[in-house]
Amino acid sequence: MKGSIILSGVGGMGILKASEVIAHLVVQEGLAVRQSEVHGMAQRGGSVVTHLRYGEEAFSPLLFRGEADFMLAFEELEALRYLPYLKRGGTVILNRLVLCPPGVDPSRYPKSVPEILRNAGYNVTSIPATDIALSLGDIRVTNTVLLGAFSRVFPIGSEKSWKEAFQKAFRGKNLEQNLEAFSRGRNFYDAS
Amino acid sequence: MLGNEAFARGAYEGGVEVAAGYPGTPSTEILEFLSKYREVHSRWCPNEKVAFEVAAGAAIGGKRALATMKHVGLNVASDALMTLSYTGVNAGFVAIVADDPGMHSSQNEQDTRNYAFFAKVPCLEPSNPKEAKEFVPLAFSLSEQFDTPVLVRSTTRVSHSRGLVPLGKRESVPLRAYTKRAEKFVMIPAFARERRKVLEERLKALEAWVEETPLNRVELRDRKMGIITGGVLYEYLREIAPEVSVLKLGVSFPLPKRKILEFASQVEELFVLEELDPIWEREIKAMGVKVKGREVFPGIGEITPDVILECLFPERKREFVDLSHFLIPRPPTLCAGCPHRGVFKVLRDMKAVVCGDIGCYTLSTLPPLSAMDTCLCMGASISIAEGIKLAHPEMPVVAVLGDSTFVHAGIPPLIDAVYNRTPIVVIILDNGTTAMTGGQDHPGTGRTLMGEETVRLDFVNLARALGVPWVEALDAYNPKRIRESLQKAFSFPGPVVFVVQGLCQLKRPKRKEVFFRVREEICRGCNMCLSAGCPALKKNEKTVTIIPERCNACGLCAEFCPFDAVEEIRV
Repeated sequence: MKGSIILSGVGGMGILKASEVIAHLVVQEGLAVRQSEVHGMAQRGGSVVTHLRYGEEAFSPLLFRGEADFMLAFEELEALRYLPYLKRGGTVILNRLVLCPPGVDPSRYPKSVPEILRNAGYNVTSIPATDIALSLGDIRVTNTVLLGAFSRVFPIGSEKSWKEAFQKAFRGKNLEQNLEAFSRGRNFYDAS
Repeated sequence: MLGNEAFARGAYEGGVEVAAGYPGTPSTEILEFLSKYREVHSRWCPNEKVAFEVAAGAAIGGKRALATMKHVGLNVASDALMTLSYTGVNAGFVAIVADDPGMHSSQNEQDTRNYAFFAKVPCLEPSNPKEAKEFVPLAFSLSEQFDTPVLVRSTTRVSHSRGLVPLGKRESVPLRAYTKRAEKFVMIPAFARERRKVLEERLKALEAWVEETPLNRVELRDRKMGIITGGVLYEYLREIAPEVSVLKLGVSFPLPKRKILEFASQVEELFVLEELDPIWEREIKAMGVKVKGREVFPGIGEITPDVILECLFPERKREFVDLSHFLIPRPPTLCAGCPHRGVFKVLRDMKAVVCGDIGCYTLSTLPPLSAMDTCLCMGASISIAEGIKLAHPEMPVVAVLGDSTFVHAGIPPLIDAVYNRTPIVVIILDNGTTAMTGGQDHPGTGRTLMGEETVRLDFVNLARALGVPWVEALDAYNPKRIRESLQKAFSFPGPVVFVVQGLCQLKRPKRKEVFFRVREEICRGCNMCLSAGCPALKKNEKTVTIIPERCNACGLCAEFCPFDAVEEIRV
């Protein structure tokens, strides 16, 4: 079992935390993991990407183009930006969220990103994760809702194992709320 | 474990007692993680030179000591490094220096290995978090064995990548005796001449050691292609081409020349794969070995797995979809509510020459603020501004730098402005933290890295004590007052210091007692507010609106609106 995931979005959306949860999960399943993340200048509302590789052996913390099996996109434009890393026909879990970069005319923002991705041959699940998070009272659990949907397509880890990974990543902080958000993401995927 | 956490763990297990540094991406988290081990004394220092010297002093005194910094930080500390290599240490001294190929968050991409060659000190180079942890204790032993400072070079992809790291126990290292040895530690010319010889002898001994150390490892597989590499590039290579033969260099300097010659003779075609400068390539070519480097790999920027594929294995590239024609850029911006925004809008509107510095505020360079004229290195804002003022006395010249940057390297140039009576305006943006690197304490915050309360540096009193004739504290969210003060300052005959105060919005709780709203019936769509580049403002067809979930209720847009269309609502 080996593979790779690209997580993309905008600084401050909990992308690092989401990749930490996935890293704990694959390690619990006895696999090696390597992951690369962005700090510093890139976090000031800029575009953010995390690469994650797992397998019996894992060396490179960076992926190469056309390699990733999965993409977790926290924002629509940022799905398009890092698409070259995704392999042809790969799976995208897409948050239905449009954040037009400040100072940019909204009419320049690409319309109907899910369609664009599907037309390019990707397997797309789009989910209003931010809306679901807001309905739970905390926009910060957007990442967990997305992970819930992702857990339905990711071949590794039982529901129990995911919950254990959450426990490790959140160390008890807002665990209840995150587990609720996780179930909502799972249920959304199952219903869609 | 994050690479930087692994460095900290390695230092802890290696028995480090004193650790000092200055924040800088991608090195910052090393000390932050280390400060959680309460048995180690960890501290932020005003700058890297101070940190390096505090650590060097602790090592001379007999305790294992660590200094951490980013690549450009070593420029600041290099004065100490170049002569510490003469004196040697006592207990182990290690400096972990993190390079930033590709300049993700830096002003240049210099290669720290140059300093190892320059100062004639050994340099270790781990490839992943596991090695990051393992190499630091080895570096301490090496430092003590050869009585030399040791550099450990990291890069962004080692420091900011995660991997599995098995933990070990903390080594118990007894305090080494301190005895006065002037001929070793006082570098007057007569003693330095003797130590210069010691340095050469030590280097010879290190050259013998480096042939034997398992840190340099030959992995013979397919003999058609042999690659000499190190650092994270080794990891990329294992992923892309697991069959090629590799000489993995865990020691960047000195090079194991015998091992290189032997490896060269065992493979048909030899490459050297290194990031940034062709340092190994030059050395290996000087040995008369036929090797390919720069003729195959680029000399600029980060070498990613894609670059290696492109240069060495183009047939292994995977197909991918490029929809970049849909893309619009999303550069980083000053946060909504950032206390810097108002200052830069005023400066831009006043058409001042703005000499900037290193920090978040460089984000004011891009449109719509387009406020900054120069940004060179830490503390240079003030001295560059002085020089521009000398060239153009008629222009209003302003130096702008953050509180932490001012402490780092802004005080000597401010003394110069006072001493030589240069009529510039210096704005210290006091946001109460080292923001760009994630919010570290510094002498102006009144708190140490270990979380203790301490004396708080008072910028107003400091500037007065230096003899600045006009010093004033201003509110970052009162742009009208800032503008009036600047107007007067531009005709003032000597240097002026304004300490503009406003907490970093990442450090202050979100205001819930008040919010702002645009009254659409009043807004005329003049876009005056938009010219400050706040990410919480959105332009509609005829008006502007505030995006509530992005707004941090700083009220600057209300200050800028010429028609009073932005109303403040108390909850």
